[in-house]
Amino acid sequence: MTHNKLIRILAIAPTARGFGYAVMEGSSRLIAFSNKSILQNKNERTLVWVGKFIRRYEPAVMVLPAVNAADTRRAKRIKQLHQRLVGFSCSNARKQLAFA
Amino acid sequence: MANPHVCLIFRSSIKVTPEPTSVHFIPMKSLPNYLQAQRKRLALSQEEVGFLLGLNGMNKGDKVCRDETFAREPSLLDALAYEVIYGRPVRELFAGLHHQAQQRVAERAKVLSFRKVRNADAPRKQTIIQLAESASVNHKHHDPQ
Repeated sequence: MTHNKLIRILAIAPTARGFGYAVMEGSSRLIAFSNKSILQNKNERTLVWVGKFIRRYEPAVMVLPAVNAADTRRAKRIKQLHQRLVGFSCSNARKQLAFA
Repeated sequence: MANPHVCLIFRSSIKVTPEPTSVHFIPMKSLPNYLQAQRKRLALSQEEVGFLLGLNGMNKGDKVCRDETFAREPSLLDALAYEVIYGRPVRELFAGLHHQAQQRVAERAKVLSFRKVRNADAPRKQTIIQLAESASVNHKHHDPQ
């Protein structure tokens, strides 16, 4: 395996106590996954962690839950974090698309 | 996107064509190593892997953590120990580093192939040409255009 023809995906799921993440290559290869508990300054620290993951794994695609979907309810903090994550990802991207 | 509960943000390494349905992905570089994925596959802790590697001290897991987060490149002995622990070849565990080494050797082989070698016998020439050709093959894989 000299070169990876698959895309690398970083999925982030903000939660009340921090966030969960998973990194995959293609649809079947799980590289890393875990939960991060954050007790204070949750949004700022989550962004710091996501920045670390983006630098470490250099994902082509970032997946976030659609917090503004019609039948979805999320806390105000998580909606704010979602917006900041989208902005954060877009600032690092050459091209991006968003689906909801 | 079929699932309304998921939001996708495409980052770099992607070309978006005018039609929104077709997105072309450029092949990505492998990560320097896949140690964390293999450790999680076997459900081992970093402390346990540190113990198996023969690391001393209270925080045996720290060095394993640094290996997994690409902060440190393990020694040859540690790399071989990882191969034994995880049951996967070193070149698969350290795919990114293997690719890097392959590229560098191929580039040097290209230089060597241009030099006039004294008493160049057929097997030697063939070896050098094969190594040099592997560089161009890898470049094609890296950039499909």
